[in-house]
Amino acid sequence: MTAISIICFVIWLYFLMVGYRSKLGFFIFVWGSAGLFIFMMLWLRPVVSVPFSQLVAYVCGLVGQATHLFESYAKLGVLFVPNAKSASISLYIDLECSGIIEIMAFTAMIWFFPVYKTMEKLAINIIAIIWIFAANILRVFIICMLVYFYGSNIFYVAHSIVGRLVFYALSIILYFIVFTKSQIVRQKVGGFNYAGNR
Amino acid sequence: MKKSNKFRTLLTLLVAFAILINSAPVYAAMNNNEKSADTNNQMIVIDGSFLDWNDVPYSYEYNWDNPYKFENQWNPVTQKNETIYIMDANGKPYNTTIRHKMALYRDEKYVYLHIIMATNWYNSLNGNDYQFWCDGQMAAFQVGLPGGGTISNGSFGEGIHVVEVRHRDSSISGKVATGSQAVLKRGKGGINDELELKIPLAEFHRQNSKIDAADIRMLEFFTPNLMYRHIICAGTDTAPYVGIASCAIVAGVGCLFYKKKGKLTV
Repeated sequence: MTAISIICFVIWLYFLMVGYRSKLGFFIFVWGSAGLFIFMMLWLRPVVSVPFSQLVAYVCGLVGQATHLFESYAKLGVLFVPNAKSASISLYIDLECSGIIEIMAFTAMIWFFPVYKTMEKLAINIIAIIWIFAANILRVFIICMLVYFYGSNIFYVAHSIVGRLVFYALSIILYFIVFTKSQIVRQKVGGFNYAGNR
Repeated sequence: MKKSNKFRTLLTLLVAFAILINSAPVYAAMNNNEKSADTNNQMIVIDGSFLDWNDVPYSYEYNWDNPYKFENQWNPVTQKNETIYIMDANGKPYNTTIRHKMALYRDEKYVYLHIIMATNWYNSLNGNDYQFWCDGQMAAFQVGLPGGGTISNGSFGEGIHVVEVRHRDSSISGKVATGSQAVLKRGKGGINDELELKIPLAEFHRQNSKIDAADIRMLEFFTPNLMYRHIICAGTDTAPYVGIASCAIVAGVGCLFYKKKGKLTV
């Protein structure tokens, strides 16, 4: 934790306080969630990225073990497809593959989203972490499965198109349910009247 | 909950978060001290011990196919025909008697390669034409004796020997790959030569300027003398910032919706 980052943290807190005092809801959401995400990236990411990559590799390995498609080397954060068509392929689960960035982004947003109470936010956050984690496992499984059956030539399509589309779709569904649909469900319907009865 | 109370709760959580993550790297460093001192945080060290390759995925490669299962083989002990399986110590099909054992690993700066030569039909390491393909672009190297020359049966006796990695098939052919390291272990009887090497990814760019050493997605190894297929290591990033941007729009729309909520009437 550098002195600059601590100073930035204090400045961020000050403006957040100003936002709360001025009751600037949207500013609090944008400023708060962006700041929390950046500070998590600065301070939390170096600590959790390796263990989280290993966890993803381990859980994916269980799926691979069950399907006999690939093996896990969790210590290295590597998934190995030994019998892929025309090649043997090691897939590295690094920071950007682990889903930890998406989890931190969601966490940053939910804690500054004005709709929910604290306990609701906690519950939603836990469920969302599981959701994003599972979505990432599914994404990696799809990549490994396609590579196993179609070889290394399909890797770019599997990784850049199919895997990402599945992951993005599941992420957007989560965000829609938590951040957009909740508004519609909880929206209070105001009183109505007829033009002639004003 | 009042706004001021809400802010205090949030402030408490954030301070607790800051204290917690401030202390976490200390514990992480404590746990990693032993490894850091020995290996400078590298997973693979080119020192001739080869033990660090035990955790790396490996496969058995070949030029000419050979089976690991032999049916109806006479067993003089049991006095009957049996099926014999050629397996390695981990219970996987094939071993270094009939095929070459290979492992490929990479980190942000280096690519690492491990080869154990098969016993059958090979008497020394073949270091010719080691091709590394980076997203479709090739950089080729030659593993040879210090000062130049091909590794052969008579090059060494039993033991650990330092060898060299040189560029080939390019304008800098014959030059030593700067920062590379390679060690060869010659076993008893001159069989199962074992090689470990590392090459800086920057050397790939030095040889082939089309290779971007900082952004190699799929790295493949192939040497036509020892194998018929490529072994590959690749990353699988989620392109997180694109995804987060899309999702943030959804969340932002939700927040704006909330802001207008009180004003909506039917």
